[in-house]
Amino acid sequence: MANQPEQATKRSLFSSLPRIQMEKRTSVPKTFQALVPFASVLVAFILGAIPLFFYGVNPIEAYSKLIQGAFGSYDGLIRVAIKMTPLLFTSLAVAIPLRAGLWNIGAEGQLHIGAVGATWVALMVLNSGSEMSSWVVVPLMILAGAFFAGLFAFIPAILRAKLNTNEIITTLMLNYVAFDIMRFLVAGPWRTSTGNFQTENFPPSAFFPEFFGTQIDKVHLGLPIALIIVAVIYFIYVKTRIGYEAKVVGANPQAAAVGGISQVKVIVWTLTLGGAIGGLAGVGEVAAIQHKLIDGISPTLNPFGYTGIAVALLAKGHPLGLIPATITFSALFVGGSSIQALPFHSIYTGDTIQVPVAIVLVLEVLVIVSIIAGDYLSRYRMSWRRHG
Amino acid sequence: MGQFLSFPIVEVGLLTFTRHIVYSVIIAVRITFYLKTNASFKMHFARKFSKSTGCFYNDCLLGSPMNKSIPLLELKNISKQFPGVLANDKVNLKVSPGEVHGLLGENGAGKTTLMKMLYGLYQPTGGEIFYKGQRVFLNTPKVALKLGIGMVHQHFKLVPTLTVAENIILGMKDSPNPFISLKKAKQAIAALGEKYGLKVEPSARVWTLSTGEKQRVEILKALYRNAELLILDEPTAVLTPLAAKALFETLDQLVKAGLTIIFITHKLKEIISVTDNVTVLRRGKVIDSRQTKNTTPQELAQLMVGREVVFQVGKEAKEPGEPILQMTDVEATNDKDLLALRGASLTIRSGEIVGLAGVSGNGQRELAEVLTGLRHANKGEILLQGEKVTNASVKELLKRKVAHIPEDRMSQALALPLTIAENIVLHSYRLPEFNQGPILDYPAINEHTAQLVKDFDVRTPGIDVPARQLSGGNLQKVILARELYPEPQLIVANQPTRGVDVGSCEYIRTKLIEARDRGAAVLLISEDLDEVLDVSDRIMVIYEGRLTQAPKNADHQTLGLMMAGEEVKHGQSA
Ligand SMILES: Nc1ncnc2c1ncn2[C@@H]1O[C@H](COP(=O)(O)OP(=O)(O)OP(=O)(O)O)[C@@H](O)[C@H]1O
Ligand SMILES: [Mg+2]
Repeated sequence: MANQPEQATKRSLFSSLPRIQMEKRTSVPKTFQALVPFASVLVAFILGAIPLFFYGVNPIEAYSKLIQGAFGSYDGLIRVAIKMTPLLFTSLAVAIPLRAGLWNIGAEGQLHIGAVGATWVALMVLNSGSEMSSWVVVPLMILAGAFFAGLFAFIPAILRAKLNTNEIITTLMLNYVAFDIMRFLVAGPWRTSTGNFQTENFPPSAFFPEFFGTQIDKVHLGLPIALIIVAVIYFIYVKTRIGYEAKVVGANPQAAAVGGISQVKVIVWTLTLGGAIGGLAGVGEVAAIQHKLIDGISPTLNPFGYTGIAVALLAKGHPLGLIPATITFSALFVGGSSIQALPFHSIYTGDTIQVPVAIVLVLEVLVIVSIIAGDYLSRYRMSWRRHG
Repeated sequence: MGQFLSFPIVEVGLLTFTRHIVYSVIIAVRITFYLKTNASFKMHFARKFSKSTGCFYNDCLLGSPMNKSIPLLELKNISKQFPGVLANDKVNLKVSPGEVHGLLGENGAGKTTLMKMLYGLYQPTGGEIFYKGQRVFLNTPKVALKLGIGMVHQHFKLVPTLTVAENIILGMKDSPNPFISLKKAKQAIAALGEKYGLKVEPSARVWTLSTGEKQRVEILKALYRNAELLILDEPTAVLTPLAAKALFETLDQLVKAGLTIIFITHKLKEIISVTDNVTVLRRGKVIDSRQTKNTTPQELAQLMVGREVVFQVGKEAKEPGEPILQMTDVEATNDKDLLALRGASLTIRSGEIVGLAGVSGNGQRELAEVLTGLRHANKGEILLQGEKVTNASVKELLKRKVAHIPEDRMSQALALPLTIAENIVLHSYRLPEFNQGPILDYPAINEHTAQLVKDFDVRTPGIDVPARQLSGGNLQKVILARELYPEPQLIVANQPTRGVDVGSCEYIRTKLIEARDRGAAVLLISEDLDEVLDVSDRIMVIYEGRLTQAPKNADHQTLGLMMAGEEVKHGQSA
């Protein structure tokens, strides 16, 4: 047989280390589960201190300014609320199918298709020259955006349901299709007369109502809609029959089949509904922020659609958890961009330096890593073991 | 450093670089954790220098000769506390070298938990383990394997797409050479197989193997790692009678070669015929440990359950009523698209239990699935109370009160991450009593679950714990409770007592007979001939996708012949 004894000398290196004992848990206590995301964010900030420190910025100073930038002023809070809106929609787009065990990586594409749908309505109103009330136009834009984005997500849904194609790949690939559709429209049929890669400005009747805020940034209709949808989805998942069905499919598709639950139905409705809600992110961006369709409604460095995946992960797919999770991420972006404008004194030379954009990206990634690591580690019971 | 970093290109570059490193770390971490759950780094932590003996703790034992006078393995006051469940309570156990030690106990008694502690998968919350007279700390399966403790789990842990040899050497690192020699391994495996009667083709892909062969691979895996103590957790629960016989022959040879075996089973006959000593567990405690030759099945059953057990469940003769199920000439294919049912016909009347005997893989699974709407019938007709239900949906059949106890409870019947309550209403959640419009009435569901858990004596810490936490036999009770509500018309029970303790077996059979007395039609698919003979009103045999009626007073031998496809006189086609 094959074993040969290892040399004892090789082991002496490790002999004095304490021993960590890991044992798999069958269930993670609820309170513990709720604490893990907070701990993850904290760990990410501690790790993020390392590049800051090398860079010459005092991490504590940077973080306190970051938090101040997001929560320290009315302006900051409004900006957080505005950034939160599309993130809530895209993270819902991820979290809804996730309950049935499906990964929607296509929120970014669905956002673009939603924006295209809303723009289509707005441009029709503009071209017809009619004086329709925004009570008609805005709901129509929302419906069109949700409808087209839902239709767009229906493609991977039906492929998954009928042919069992991997939805991760199809939703991801369709993102590129969506970008190209949007680019084609703004570069071709819908291009403004001024020649830029964008459409004409929407008529005022196609603007989302705005509620409160500062001169430049105002909280718009998107936020209450997103919050209502979060509540509705929570209700569906916790209380209703279709929510139960989705949960069973997510837990064990074979058992769902034995229980007579139609997998096709669950896959199609969760992915399509997720897609439609993802589309609303795009509707909000064109109807409230840009007031036109341009190439680049979603930031290139932290695209709303992809960030939505991280948000849904941080919330562990729980609809109510999406609210603190989106606040965390949008605060990170708002605070991160605010500290870029601020001067810092290098701890090495005392020179005035600035914090680069990339630091926020690094933090974002570190948050994701520690969520994943935290999620993994929380499934184990760990202890130091002494022995005689 | 600050100076150097002030070039914008470098900053952005450096930070992007950091970002990429972080991404790579995510990927690396995930891969490590997923592929190597028992990553070798834990191994490093697991070793400690033992000053008293001057060698690495545990390692002094490597290859040390067995001393017949001291027990090979001794457990002293071993306890295991799970949240809410004390799975093992101060267990003391001695296993001498060269014996076959039987471990017996009801479902949920803590047998698997105890063995998992020996194999380093769980850590005891109290007590000490001695191996060859020395205290050992079994932190991971690797440590256990190093010492010579091997385990074959009830649910095999093989990679289906790899070959036998690849599976066996998977995860072994026994030389500094990073390249593995498959050829040498194959030779060694073939030699081992020859020696112990464990015939498998080393280069065959695991998914092509039968269950019995897969089990042989698992045993070979342990032997290849030089196991001296082999733990077998319910090895015969998944085997056909023939394969079980082959396994016993192998065990014989292993013992002759000097191995020691711990053998878990629910079948008392096997305990009597295979083991030297037997230990009985009840609710986590050792009730008794005795020599097998000084005991009887009746006595063991009583020790185990704590009361008298009837092996033959009584039932009254009953005149069957109207036909409930009429199936004619059904053809269906299996998952590999080969014809599995070739013109199968079957009639079951109200108040009748039809036992279906057969070696597994002759179309039983496909038959159960066709009858319950999970598989498409290519040909033939199925009538339920005279109405055509060929290829009706599962939902439709559930509405017509067809109950199904699937063969594979872990993967087919239950959603293990969900709670007991959520699992128990899997078939009945559409009923009006659990709904208020589109909203599920959770209070009603919980009340219903609590009632069933009580009625069926399911041992569980609560109704809202994940099903994963229950032991095998208790999961089977959950399924049974679910299927018998609301009262079904037709019950398709596929191996309902597999892996279930004698007490619960009796209970499940009684429940099936009760259902029949209420007028249900029951199809009992089982490989256990005793069960088929004991419970059924009429016996059919399935062979290569065709059903044949067995003669009225068929015995083991006749059925055995029919199961092997031989024509038997008086056997008439149904
Ligand atoms: N990981 C776990 N977490 C919590 N409870 C557990 C866990 N594993 C087992 N249990 C509980 O411990 C008890 C013993 O379970 P175990 O699986 O050891 O039983 P068993 O004797 O092997 O039963 P069976 O014959 O049904 O396989 C059961 O009550 C079970 O619910
Ligand atoms: Mg067990």
